[in-house]
Amino acid sequence: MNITNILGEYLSKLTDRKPMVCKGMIRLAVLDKHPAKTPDQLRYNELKDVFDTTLKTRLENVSIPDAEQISQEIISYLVKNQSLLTMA
Amino acid sequence: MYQAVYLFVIFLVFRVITGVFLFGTWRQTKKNNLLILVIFFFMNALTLLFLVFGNLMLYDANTIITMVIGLIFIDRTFYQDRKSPFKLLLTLTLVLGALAIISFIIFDQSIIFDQSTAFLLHNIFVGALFVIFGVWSLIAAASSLKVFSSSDAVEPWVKGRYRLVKFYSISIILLGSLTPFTPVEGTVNWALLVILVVNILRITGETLAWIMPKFLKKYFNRGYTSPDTSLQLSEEEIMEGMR
Repeated sequence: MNITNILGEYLSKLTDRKPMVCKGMIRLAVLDKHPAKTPDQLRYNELKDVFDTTLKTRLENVSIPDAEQISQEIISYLVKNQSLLTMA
Repeated sequence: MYQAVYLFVIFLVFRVITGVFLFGTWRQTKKNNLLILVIFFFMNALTLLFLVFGNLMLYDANTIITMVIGLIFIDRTFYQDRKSPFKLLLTLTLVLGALAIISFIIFDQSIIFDQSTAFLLHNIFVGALFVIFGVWSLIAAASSLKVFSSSDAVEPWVKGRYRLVKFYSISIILLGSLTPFTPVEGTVNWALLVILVVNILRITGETLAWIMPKFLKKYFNRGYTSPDTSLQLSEEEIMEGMR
């Protein structure tokens, strides 16, 4: 199970960008904070922290409007789907 | 109850196998809630061991501890940073657990009530512990599955695991609901026989859900193609695509 798939699909809906690109964005944001890990290896709190920091910064760097709000929305989505980190 | 001792030993072996398998997964992933689940399965095996040896007092005490561990697992897996009924259910479990132990002492010592009344009360309290855990487990799995059930991003075998959790949660609720109808030690009635069948279903469901053998994973995933192609893109391509 690749957690990047479900979160990338959701980021794609939020930003109106291609899902493939958004999945890559999440992967890069994870690498910024945890260079030796993949998104699937992160714990819930680590992933939440990535969305609140490096993903937000990367979204701001490419001038995505409302980066702060998008970051909060993807965190809310993670909170709702947190069980996937254990069950998948 | 003792006629079913061999069946309890088989149940116990399945709990240990599931616990050992999950321990291996935890060593790879280091996800702490998996360790809670490992403890849950081993405590459950210990509970069955007390049942095999006919020590009902230790069975009760261990059942309470196991249910508390089960509630912690659900809370840590489904309800971090969310409104959770954990404290309420924990309090209820501890109160009902204490009442189960008190009623067992009354049953054992034949004080206050006659033995059959005390045994019935004991079984109601123990049954309620199972119902509380089963209902919360069912609600947690069903509400999570509802969020992504139509999403192609989640592999079918993962959805299958949630469905198996729902299935064994219903079995646990049934077990708890039937417990008040079980007879005093040494006799067998319809409720005990149904409980044995439901227990087989529950343990099969739990084992399949958490071990998820390859053949079952393949079966759930038949005809599914993973949409993940992000690894093909370079950082420049990704950043350009986001602009």
